[in-house]
Amino acid sequence: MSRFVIYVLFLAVAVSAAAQVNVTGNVIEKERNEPIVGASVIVKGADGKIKKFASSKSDGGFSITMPSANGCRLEVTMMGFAKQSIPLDSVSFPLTVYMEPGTTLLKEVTVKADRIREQGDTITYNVGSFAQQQDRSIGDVLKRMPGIDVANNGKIQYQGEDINKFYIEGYDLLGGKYGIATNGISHEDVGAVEVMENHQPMQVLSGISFSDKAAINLKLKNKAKATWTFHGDAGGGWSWQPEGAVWDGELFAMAAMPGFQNITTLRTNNTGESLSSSNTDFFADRRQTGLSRYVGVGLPGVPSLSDKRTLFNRSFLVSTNNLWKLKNGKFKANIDYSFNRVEAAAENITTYFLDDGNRIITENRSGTEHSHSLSGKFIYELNQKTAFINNTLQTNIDWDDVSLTATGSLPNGQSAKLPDYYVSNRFKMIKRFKGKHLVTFQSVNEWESLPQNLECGMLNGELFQQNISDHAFYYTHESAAYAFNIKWVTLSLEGGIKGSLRSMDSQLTPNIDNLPEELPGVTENVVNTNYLTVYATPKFEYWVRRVNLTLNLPVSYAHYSFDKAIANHDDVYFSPSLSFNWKPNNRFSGTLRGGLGRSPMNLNLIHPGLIMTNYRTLKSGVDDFYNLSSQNVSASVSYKHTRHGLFANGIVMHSWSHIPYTMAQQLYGDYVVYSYADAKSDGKTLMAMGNVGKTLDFMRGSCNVNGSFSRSESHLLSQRQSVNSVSSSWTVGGKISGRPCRWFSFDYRIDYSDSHLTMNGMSESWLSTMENELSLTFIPLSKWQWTVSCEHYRNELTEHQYKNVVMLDTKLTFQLNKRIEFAASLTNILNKRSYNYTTYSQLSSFESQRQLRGRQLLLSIILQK
Amino acid sequence: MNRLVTFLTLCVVAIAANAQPRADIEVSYTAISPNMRTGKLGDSTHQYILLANSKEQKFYSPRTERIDSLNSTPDGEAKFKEMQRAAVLGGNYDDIPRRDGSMYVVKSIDSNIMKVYDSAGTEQYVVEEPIETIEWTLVEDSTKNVIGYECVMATADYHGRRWTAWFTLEIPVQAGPWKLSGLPGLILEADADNGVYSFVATGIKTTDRPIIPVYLADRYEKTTRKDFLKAKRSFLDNPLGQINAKYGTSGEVVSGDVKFADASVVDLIETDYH
Repeated sequence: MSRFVIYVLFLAVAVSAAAQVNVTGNVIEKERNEPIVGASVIVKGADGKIKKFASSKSDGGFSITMPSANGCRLEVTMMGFAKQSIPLDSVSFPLTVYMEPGTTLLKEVTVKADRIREQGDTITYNVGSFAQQQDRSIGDVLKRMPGIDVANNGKIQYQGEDINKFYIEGYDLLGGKYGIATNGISHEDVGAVEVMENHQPMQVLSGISFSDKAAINLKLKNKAKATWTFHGDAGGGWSWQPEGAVWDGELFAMAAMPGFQNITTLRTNNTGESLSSSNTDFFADRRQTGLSRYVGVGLPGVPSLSDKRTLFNRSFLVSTNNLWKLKNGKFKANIDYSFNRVEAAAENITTYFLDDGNRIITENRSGTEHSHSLSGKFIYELNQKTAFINNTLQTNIDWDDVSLTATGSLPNGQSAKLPDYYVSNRFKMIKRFKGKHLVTFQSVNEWESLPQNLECGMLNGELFQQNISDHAFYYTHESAAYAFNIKWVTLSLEGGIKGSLRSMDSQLTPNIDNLPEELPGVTENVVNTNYLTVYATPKFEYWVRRVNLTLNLPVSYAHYSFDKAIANHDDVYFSPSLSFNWKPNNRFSGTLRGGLGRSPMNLNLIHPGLIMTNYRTLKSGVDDFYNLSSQNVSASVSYKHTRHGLFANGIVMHSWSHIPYTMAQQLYGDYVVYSYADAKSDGKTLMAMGNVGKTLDFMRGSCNVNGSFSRSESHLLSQRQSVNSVSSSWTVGGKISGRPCRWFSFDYRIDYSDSHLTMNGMSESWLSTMENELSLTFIPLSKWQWTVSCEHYRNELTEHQYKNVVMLDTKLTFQLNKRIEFAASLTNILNKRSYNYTTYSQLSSFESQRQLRGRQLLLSIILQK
Repeated sequence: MNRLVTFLTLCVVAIAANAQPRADIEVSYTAISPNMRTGKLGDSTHQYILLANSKEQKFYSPRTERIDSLNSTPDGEAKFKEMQRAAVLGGNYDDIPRRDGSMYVVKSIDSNIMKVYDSAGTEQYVVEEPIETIEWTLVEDSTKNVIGYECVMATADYHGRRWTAWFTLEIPVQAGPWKLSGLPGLILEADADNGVYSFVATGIKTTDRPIIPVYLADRYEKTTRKDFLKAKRSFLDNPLGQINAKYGTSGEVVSGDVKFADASVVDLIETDYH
């Protein structure tokens, strides 16, 4: 027995010594019941350390041999699947491990691709390599890309020239209202920004007509394609001035489907953020109806600080934009509505130091402007190599109501109702046949009505009412347009007729009796300004690989009829222009342009009677028909070296204008009357600009230096005295941004400008303004982000007297997860509520007081899908 | 015309792309190697990209691939030559389009095959071999953070050099730079013999880019790994000899001294061919 026991013991020891656990099994995808290849199979010990590992083979099988599996766990991981963890103590082998779909979240670190790439005419900017932590929209990142410039109003330029198209995934969804995209689309949804140089949007003209403009295309990331993306934020808080609650909300939805695109956005705030950049059509053609408002009442001016410091607003905007890709062409519908209420106030105190005591004149002005705008645009477009068809139906309805009150030495109240109704349809068709011949047909019809109503009430009980009814119908019917192309030369001829019917009448009630007696003229107008023009535009384009020469020779004959107001008129106009572009290589481009011409005067100036444009200004028009003439020359150059991330451009422009009448200003009592005198007025303008941008790869940043100079000379008659005024100004600016280390990024901007005015040789002093802005962002922990920024303004009020303003802001962001983020911002921490200054001259002092937005706390939640 | 070619090329690429396997992740690496003339360490860097999913992996240099893709069509080749010519004529020698890293490493896990496309002097070779299991030893107490990922150290002897790799369990893809793989997570950093050769990840993102085959694959001559290494060595030892043999005339030294260091000073990334 004891022998047997010993034997058994021996056996047990032997077995355990030789015991090798064979951890085997199969990895199976649960949904499809198929083996998974390449999964990581790891055995971890009780201490969590890796003991052994393997990967699943082509049949999904794995096999790991180890001495003991006591207390061990088996972990199976695979991209795209949830991790499986199985304790090995109480299982038998072979195991079957079922994998279920799951996401493996990567902490993405930008893949080192070239930040800027160039292929042919396309420059590609890698968005991830320019974006900083604090950026939200793609517009924030565009500002950091050298070569691309985003103006304060949202307009985009590439190498100093406005872009001519803005595409999303190759489709022109938004037209000129691309601010909706730049302000709305999250930069995280965009993989690359492509700039297409010399972009000819009409394929039918490609190779025939040269374009010196560039277009921008946003290449979305795959995650934003073929799906809806949403993001929204809602914020609420408190403002110290204007005292009360503040809100800021945004909803943004985008779909970039293969056959359909949509962007719908809704934005509202009263925090001083202007929504106009989302609501401006940067590609809008000038309306051919040619109407413009006579009434000019505006809110008091604000100090030259950034908008968000001075705008007292309540703004709302909703916009929906749809694009359907049809079998032939595409159809677009853009519908927007916006509402804006702006308040402004100003207080001026002028003190005259007189021998018999000081005399003080005060003026308090405050006003409110309500504007509503509803617009709809419906476009069908076919853009093919042999045919182009575009029909655009557009309607715009704007209501603009302004009310202003002034108290003080000349108390008054003004209220203006200024609606604008506009409908147009534009049809254009181009057909290309035999490769080189083009035929164009174009028809444009526009109608606009611009009634204006101004009421001015004075404290003494006088009440003026200026009513204007002004509407116009314009059409063009271009029946013949033909172009053909022989090797390097394209010759084209466009011709047609265009015409316009316009009637304007205005009354000022009560009539002139209430105005100072010496005031000249009547206060009623009944004017018709109609014209019919026959025109032809021969165009000659010479185009070889590196040179493009374009000569335009528009000639027209026009008949004007004015229905008794002034004599009818017939005239011939010829305005040739020439442009020359040289592009010796991909990097350099130079353009010279020149033109001269004659054009009819602005027909709005034809009104013999007076029109009241605000409570103390009246205007009367010309009493004859005039033509203007002008000349202009310009030269521009641009250079780029994409691999070095260097972009530079410069432009010099000079223009001359000759107007056979001169604006005259005359004071009658408290009233200013503008009229036109039969005297020559010559003007000159010189402008130069330059801009250099460069990437700073060592800190994922970029920098930019720019400068400009302008000088313009004009003429005016004031109190029957001829006044020749010359205004000059120059600006220099620079900005730099970067992220020198993972937890810190910065933006810095400085702008300096200097301007002065000389009247009749009497030179006023140069007045400068300087603006500095520094913003620092810290990322102490991966989910936290803290930004602190400071703005400094130094405005020269009179010579050597400066007004300094410092504004401090801060913002803290916490990212809970990929979908939810919280932010708290405190703006104007120092609570600067007013912009006051006093300037002194020998005999008087002038004190100005303006309000600023006070301290403001805003708490927001940001959601993303 | 150029636009048309680009468009057609894009179409072809797009059509071809539909048939290609798509990567799950894209990782960029900087490859650091010694100067083959002076033996100076860390003197030469190349940028590589790893595209990987669980079945297919491709390690390549994007700049090289762009040039190869151009040369794969007659129009592209003409354009490439034009770019070269323009750069030379303009005196912008910096702008002559150059290939970056020379190799492509393509792995197919399903069929257990690794193909390495590389050049030895003026010749191009492809080596096809089964994917070897590298005998890694984990050094779990050593951890390191590489581009934000917690990595564990592992070491192995591989083709004549001692490799140290840093892999992360957070990314369960058994892949890595060059030929390195076989760890239970993505290798983000690796160096041989204390930094004679090294690969360091510089970026990572999820992707669905297609893993396209190597351009002009038929121009690579098949050989074995050791023969390839020997061919490379023989070129380094006698570069002009090979050029003369190939082109029949004697090669001229345009600039500098075309001499490479001896294998005892600096050797190839694999040294087990001697």
